[in-house]
Amino acid sequence: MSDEVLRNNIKVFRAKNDLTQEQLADLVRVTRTTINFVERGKWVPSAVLAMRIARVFKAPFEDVFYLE
Amino acid sequence: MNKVERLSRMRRNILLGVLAGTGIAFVLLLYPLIVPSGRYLWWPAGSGLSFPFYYWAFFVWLLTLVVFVILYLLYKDKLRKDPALRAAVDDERVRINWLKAYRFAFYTLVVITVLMKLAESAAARAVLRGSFPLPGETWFLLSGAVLSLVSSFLYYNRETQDE
Repeated sequence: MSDEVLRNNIKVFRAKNDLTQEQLADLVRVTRTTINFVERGKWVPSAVLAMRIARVFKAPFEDVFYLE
Repeated sequence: MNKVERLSRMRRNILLGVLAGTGIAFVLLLYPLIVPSGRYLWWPAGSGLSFPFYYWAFFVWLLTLVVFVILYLLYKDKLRKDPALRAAVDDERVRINWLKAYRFAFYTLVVITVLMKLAESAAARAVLRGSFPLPGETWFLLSGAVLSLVSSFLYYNRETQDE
């Protein structure tokens, strides 16, 4: 079984785009708490949600999310 | 605070109200077991005694259900009018949290049922100097189910601070 976990750079991208968690949550249609959980790696988002987040940042998926 | 946050908070407050009302009813059901002098107040049939705890528990729970079901319907009505808002408030994490809460409530019910069967045993009767109050069985199961479901959902769905 793989020990890899999904990490992300959401916090960095949020800072670059000057977005709060609440604003990002609004853009991808989830609650702010969900964004907070995803950002801290406490929740692995569905592929759909992960793609939506990457699309908001206009960045390639693998720049926002990566396996570690 | 935007609409999503406001409705999430509304749901949390409704569930906290249900939890409080059910908790009070649960304590009223347990009271006669904990306080020996109140034990027989539990069982009204044929005892000739008054039975305030059983009825108070029923009243508190009924009141809780009526008030919070109305509030919950108002909350649902707000979501129904705006599908995008509903998708945000009931996002994938919230839906999984409900499933986890249902699983926890199921295991809790199994444990409560086993404990109640043990309480009916001869040893328990000797200790309690009377039988476990059978009329309370359904109440125990129902209030235990609601308590475990709502409290575990609130726990899994607890809010975090913005970073």
